[in-house]
Amino acid sequence: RRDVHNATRVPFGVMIPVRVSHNQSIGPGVVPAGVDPAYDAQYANHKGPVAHVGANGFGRPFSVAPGPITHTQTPYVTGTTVLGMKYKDGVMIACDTLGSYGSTKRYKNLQRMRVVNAKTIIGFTGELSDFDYIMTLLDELNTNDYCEDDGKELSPKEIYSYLCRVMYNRRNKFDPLWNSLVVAGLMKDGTQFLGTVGMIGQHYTDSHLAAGFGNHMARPLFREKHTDDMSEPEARALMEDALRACVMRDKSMMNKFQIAKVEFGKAPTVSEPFAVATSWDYEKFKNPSEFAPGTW
Amino acid sequence: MFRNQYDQDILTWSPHGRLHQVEYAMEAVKQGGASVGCKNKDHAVLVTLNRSASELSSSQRKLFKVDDFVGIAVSGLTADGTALVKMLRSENISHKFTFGSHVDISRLALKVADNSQVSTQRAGARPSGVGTLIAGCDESGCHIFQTCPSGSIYEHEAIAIGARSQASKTFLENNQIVQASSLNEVKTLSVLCSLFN
Repeated sequence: RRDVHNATRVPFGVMIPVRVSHNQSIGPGVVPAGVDPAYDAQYANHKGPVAHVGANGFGRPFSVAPGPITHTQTPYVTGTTVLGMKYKDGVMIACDTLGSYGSTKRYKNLQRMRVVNAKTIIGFTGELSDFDYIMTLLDELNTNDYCEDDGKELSPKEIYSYLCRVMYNRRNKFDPLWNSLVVAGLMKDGTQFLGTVGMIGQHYTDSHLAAGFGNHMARPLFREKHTDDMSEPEARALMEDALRACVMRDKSMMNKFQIAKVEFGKAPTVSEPFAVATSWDYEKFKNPSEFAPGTW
Repeated sequence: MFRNQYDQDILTWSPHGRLHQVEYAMEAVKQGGASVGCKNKDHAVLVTLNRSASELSSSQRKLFKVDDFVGIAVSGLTADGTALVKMLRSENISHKFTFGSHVDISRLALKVADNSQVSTQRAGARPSGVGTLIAGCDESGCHIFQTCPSGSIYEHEAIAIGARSQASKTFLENNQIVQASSLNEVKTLSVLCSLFN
């Protein structure tokens, strides 16, 4: 009796043979449950291999804690471009204060640039919540330094390297932080630092940078006019030119900007919001379809 | 130092407020071969006196490189020292990979001290049997740190540890390096000092 009982129990890892049907109407190999009790009995105690599930029944393989899947598939509240450049007295970055919700210009007072520590500032494009998470990570680093109590804090390059590792590791887990970051600041040896990190971990440093649309609109202007020893008014004028170029072309941008600066010997500052003068009375705007026949 | 009823394990205080096991561990450092450290403005020098088991044996290595700008000399149970060096190298390279920069010398030395302290407050482990001199240069200049099995950490201009180090320390006090001394002067002084051991 025990043998019969055991025979119906399929050991772990053994495949139950597929029951082939020769019924013309339902086709080969398709036998619904309930039709053949002898076959169904094989499944009575079958505990096939299952991927790991957490204690509450949710979760996925490779998840550290059981719970619903929270991989970022698409960004929701996003910031558009960030521009950055070095100049004689330090380094500055600029962006607008808009948080878009898709194509809706929803949050008009967003602080997209933040001060990290006494020598570093950071700006983001992309998903706002992921950037807030990045700020909590940086906050933890700052807290560690504070607790060490030796007056030392992370340099911009160290923060940049750390964020490269974070972004790349998230990308490897198919759960990216949906941001492009611009990290700027002053190093202890008296040089400026300006670097960018993207959501797949790509990173580089340069004298002038942009994240997002600014790469196409602003970088050409920077390449033409930027020099490392520009004075602050010259740098600001170039930055405003670049912002004007961006806002007149980027449909998810608004004409309300802030500039954040780190200058030698001073604390980092984020300016009050300002607007740039835009002009829409170009000749070719007046009769738009004249040079584009077929549009309406 | 004599045996008493309060020295049987690390978890027992003596009525005079001493942990004898830790003190015995420091004694192991004092019995070990000498290590000397001196520095000037731009260089930190470590010298070790290496013992060999017999005339036909090689001498024990006590001077290790942790990274390009950090070196460590150990005195005492050299095996404990090599384990410590492995830990330091691993911490250092992990920091370099994540942050792209060298670890601060003082924080490296603090890691050694914290590791040593843990073993003085744990049932299953014995205190580390090695005192170290960590020398290095970083943005804030050159440093020499000393750690003990007790978990203490000290910073020095010049220091000698190990067997007969008191004579060396007196020598160093009488022949102080000034910041402007050349590297050769520092090296010569360190070697001379170690000969006192």
